[in-house]
Amino acid sequence: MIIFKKEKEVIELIEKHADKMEECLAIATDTLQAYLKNDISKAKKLARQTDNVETQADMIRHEIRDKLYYGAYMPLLREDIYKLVESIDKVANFTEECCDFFLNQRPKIPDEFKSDFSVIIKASLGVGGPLKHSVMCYLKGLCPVEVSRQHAKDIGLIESKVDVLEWDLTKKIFSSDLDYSHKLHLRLCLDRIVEVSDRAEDSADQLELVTLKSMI
Amino acid sequence: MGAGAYVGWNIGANDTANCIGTSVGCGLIRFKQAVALVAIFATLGAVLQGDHVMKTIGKGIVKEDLDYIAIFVALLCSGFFVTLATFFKIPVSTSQAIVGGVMGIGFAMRAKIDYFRFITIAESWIVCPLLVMALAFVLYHLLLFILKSIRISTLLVQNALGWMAILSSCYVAYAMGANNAGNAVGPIANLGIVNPTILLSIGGVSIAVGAATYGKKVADTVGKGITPLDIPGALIAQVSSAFGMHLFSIMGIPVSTSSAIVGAVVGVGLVKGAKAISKKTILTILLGWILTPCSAAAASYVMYKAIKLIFS
Repeated sequence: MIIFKKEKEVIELIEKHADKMEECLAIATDTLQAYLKNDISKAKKLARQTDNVETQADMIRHEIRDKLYYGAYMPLLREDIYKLVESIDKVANFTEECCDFFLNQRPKIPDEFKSDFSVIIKASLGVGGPLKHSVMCYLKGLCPVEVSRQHAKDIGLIESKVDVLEWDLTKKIFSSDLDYSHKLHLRLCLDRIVEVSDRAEDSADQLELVTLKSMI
Repeated sequence: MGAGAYVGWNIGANDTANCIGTSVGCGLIRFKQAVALVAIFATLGAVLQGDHVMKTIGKGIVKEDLDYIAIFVALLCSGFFVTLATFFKIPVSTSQAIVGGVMGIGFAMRAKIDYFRFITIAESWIVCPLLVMALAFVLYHLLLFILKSIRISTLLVQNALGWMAILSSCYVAYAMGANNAGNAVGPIANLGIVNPTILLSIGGVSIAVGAATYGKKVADTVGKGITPLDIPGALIAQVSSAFGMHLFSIMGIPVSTSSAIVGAVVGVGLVKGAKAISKKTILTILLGWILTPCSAAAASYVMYKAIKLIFS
């Protein structure tokens, strides 16, 4: 169909962008898991891949911005769409930063905490799939608006579960016999990991706002 | 001619806001962009289809030729009360004001008044908003049903509805030009001194100038004051009021865009429940609708009598 060609192109680009975000999170998960297994060379290789995918996501975001501000969608909708895209992009950005943090600062994860870190990495960085699903469900009209909103709320639930894991691990770290500086460093690692699901929750909130305007 | 242009300006300042108020109120377009659209389409409507109402206003109600003073007084008094209402952000009916003014003059001149015609017009003042309100209520429900039944991108639907709302604004502006330009220049047409097309062009341009210079106040009342509007709501309100107005325009009955759009916005608001509507705003508007024609009639009567007394 010729009408709304630009608008449909924007939706396709947002899907591509969400794909990249999901890919970025998946590779980052492997990066951090490799780091936990002390396979630093593999982790470095994967971290570079994460950077590349994040850069690709940025390029797509720029393309979306250009298309939007060259006339796709009405100004009233344009701003909301771009804010949503930006919020998704931040998830990928924080994921990249998380990998960079581990590989630049090389925190020493004691063996007794490795399984806990592994669980929290999977939980926090595993949010990419549900986020992409909820966004595309709304943008492509794959499900009713109410269902899209429920998907967005589910991301909030994932973030809450990550918070619980974070709380437990923080307690465990600070009640251990490690040096205080080491404890603080591990705490920083934890902050970086949970930041990803926090940003995903922000993105889901933005999605909820957009869907709210479509609730009739 | 000056008084006619003044009434046209008044229509622009008060009534024109009604055709763009919903689109501007829900954030679809900026006020300045909306005014540009109104300038084009109201002038086109006035020139192409404004003659029906102009004939009714000019000769239909008072069965006697009105002199210059009578026309001047009728236009001035009706214009004054509309300006007053605009100042207080009330979307009043310019049609009602001008009909009230002409009636006042008719009484003062002890001219023969076509009461049947007057009652037909007065009936439309009640029927039009109610009809448009019911139409908007039904159409909005229908649109909701359709939107919930189809599975396409909600964003694309919102975008399409947004464009349709802007197009419907243009349609309402056209209908307003066709219906209300006659109100401004109708009584002058009766004098037969100026070509009707030129008169209607003056009416259309005056409406555009009124919208640009003083139209924002009433636009805010219509677009935001009665009920919060979303894109589909803005579209349905405009389409319903346009249909109602066009219908009355074809019948040659001067109705107000104010009554049509207010009825339509209330109809849309009622879908969300009575609580979604600002009762204070509605009561103020209703009071304005009653007071405007009555005040215009009384003022025209007194002023015409006073002028005749002084100069005789």
